[in-house]
Amino acid sequence: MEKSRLDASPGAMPGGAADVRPSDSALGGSADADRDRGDRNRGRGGGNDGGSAALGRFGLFDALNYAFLAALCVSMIYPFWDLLMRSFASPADSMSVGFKLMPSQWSVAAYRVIFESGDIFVNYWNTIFRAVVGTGLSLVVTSACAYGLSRRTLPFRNGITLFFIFTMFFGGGLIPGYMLIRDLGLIDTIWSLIVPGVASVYNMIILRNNFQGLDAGLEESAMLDGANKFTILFRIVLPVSKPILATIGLWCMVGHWNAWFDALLYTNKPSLSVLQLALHNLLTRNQSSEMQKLLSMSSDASKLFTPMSAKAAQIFVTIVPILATYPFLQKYFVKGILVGSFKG
Amino acid sequence: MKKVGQIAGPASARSVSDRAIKPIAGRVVAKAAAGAGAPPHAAAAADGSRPLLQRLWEHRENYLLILPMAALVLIFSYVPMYGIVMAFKEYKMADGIFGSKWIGLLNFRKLFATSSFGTIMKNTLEISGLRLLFGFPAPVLLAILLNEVRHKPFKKTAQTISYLPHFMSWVVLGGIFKNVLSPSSGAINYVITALGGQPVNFLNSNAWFRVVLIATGVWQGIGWGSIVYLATIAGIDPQLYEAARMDGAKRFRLIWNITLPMMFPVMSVLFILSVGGILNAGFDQIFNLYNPLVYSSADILDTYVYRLGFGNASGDGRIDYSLATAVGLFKNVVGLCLVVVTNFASKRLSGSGIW
Repeated sequence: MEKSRLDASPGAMPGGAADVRPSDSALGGSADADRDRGDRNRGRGGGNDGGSAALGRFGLFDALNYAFLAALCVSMIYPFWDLLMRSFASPADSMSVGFKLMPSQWSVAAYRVIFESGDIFVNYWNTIFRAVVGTGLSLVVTSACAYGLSRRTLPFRNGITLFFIFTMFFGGGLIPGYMLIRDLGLIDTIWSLIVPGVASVYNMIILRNNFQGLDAGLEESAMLDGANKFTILFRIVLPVSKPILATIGLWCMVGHWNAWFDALLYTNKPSLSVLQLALHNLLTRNQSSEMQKLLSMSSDASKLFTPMSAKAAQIFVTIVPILATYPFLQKYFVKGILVGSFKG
Repeated sequence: MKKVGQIAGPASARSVSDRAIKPIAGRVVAKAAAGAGAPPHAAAAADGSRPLLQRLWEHRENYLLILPMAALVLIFSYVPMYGIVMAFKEYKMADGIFGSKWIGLLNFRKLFATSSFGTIMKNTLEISGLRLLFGFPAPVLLAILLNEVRHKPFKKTAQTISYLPHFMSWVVLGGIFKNVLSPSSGAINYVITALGGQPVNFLNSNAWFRVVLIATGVWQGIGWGSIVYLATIAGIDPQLYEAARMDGAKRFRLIWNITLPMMFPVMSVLFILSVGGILNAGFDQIFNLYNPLVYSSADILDTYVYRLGFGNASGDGRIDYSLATAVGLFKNVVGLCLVVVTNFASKRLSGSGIW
């Protein structure tokens, strides 16, 4: 269940082959798609209209199409907006019914209480720690292995690859996995959230394919100059692979930020709770100790809030780093899925 | 499985679009891919004349680089496979995995005999089936509609917004949908009551829960799923469209006779692969939305395993590690078979699979 959580594209199917050429303009995502098609096939610049779109007239179909897409976008944004407003609403407004673009009375009581209780800082620290350390370790381990496996003359190369790939399709399952973590003594340590996800086979295969696609001449000439294999790896191969490493690193980060199930299984101490777990507990347990603690803090009138706005505020505190960076980073993610997930 | 070297294979996103350009609809994906990945073996063969030990020694640094990853995979993926023996034992905490008594297939007999197993299998397959039915065509449709948009900023904004839910965990999305679907304050029920209906408690109703699962699943995945299809459409040769336009084809003809056929190879591979994952009915989503009232329509294999292993006593009771392991093993074995079969089918039909 949680096996592929930290893989390069969490939503994507497990799969292998990808001859990665990140600099290739065809990977540039659909935003570049029209330009790319124009350049490649006809050598003419912009002005190549999308697909079958007839030139000229704006017909009924176009009107319906724009309306539908706009409605879809509203349906994606509205649930977030509604919750955001409830998190900032006065107790009466937070429980109000129906569409309201803004509360009639604002209140930051829910946020005040969340920050004053202090748990949120612990949760943030744990999440950032697991994301940064987990991503760093994973990049080091997977790219080292990927480089080793990318050597085409390596004896037993196929056997070793099979050893890795098999784990993408079969595993011990939830209970044996849990017992392993328990027997290793990792329960209630932050490492239970980091170490099991370090060796991502999926990311390793993507990297290996990328390394295989690199220009062999580059390495040969360095070898002639007397560079050893580690020098080649660190001075040549990794620097030219920066784009793909960055994409995989970003994916890893988001995977760690959103991971909750491992935390639910392996950590019980509040001092180890990550953001997603704290949120999960607050949302799913009606009488949760988290909520009781927050409610007990609304001693005076200025700190009055409803469980609804507390939940809403906690959701936004959890996702705000993703929301804030998303518009700038999404094109890298798109690149990631095109390199990684689809092999045809 | 044995030809795993081929996974190194060829198909980059570039070649996806390259191949799509070839105006032979049906078998486009096919063979072009098969060749490109081959060259590595030529080098290996030329090298094969020297003694193995010498070659191993030459690659010592490479093995050293592989070692940490191999050790981690051994520990965290292969060691738990040993734990599978629990499925054939009566696990007792005090005896450990080694010491517990062998009971053969008793756990599986117990599993197949319980009435809940039938419900759970039915739920798993039905929910997965519905997801395929509605969730699979949705991104295709969105990609086609987005492609018809000529106003570039609108198209880009719509795309960016449509990916957003993909980056949220189901813990967050669960909280969001509990708010939107709330019978007392939710927006959906506000519309229903405004139109004169009775408020519906979507998340507590066995009749509605699956509708919620499928709808929110499509909502979350539609934008992200459309990326691959948009890239495929972008690779279609515009001359095809122009030639068809010369012949007087209108927009729907172009979509139906050019865009769709050109997307077909990609669609068929993705479809076959998702059939292979049919026993994964969406643990994260269901776990964050369901409650005991809707177990009869929403309990799937994964949630059942979780409750068998970690269920709290106040819920549905007992903890049975052995039975939970047996259910997990059943799921993994059937899942592996499905992947192998569907991959074979995919290779047969479209010439490409995942290995």
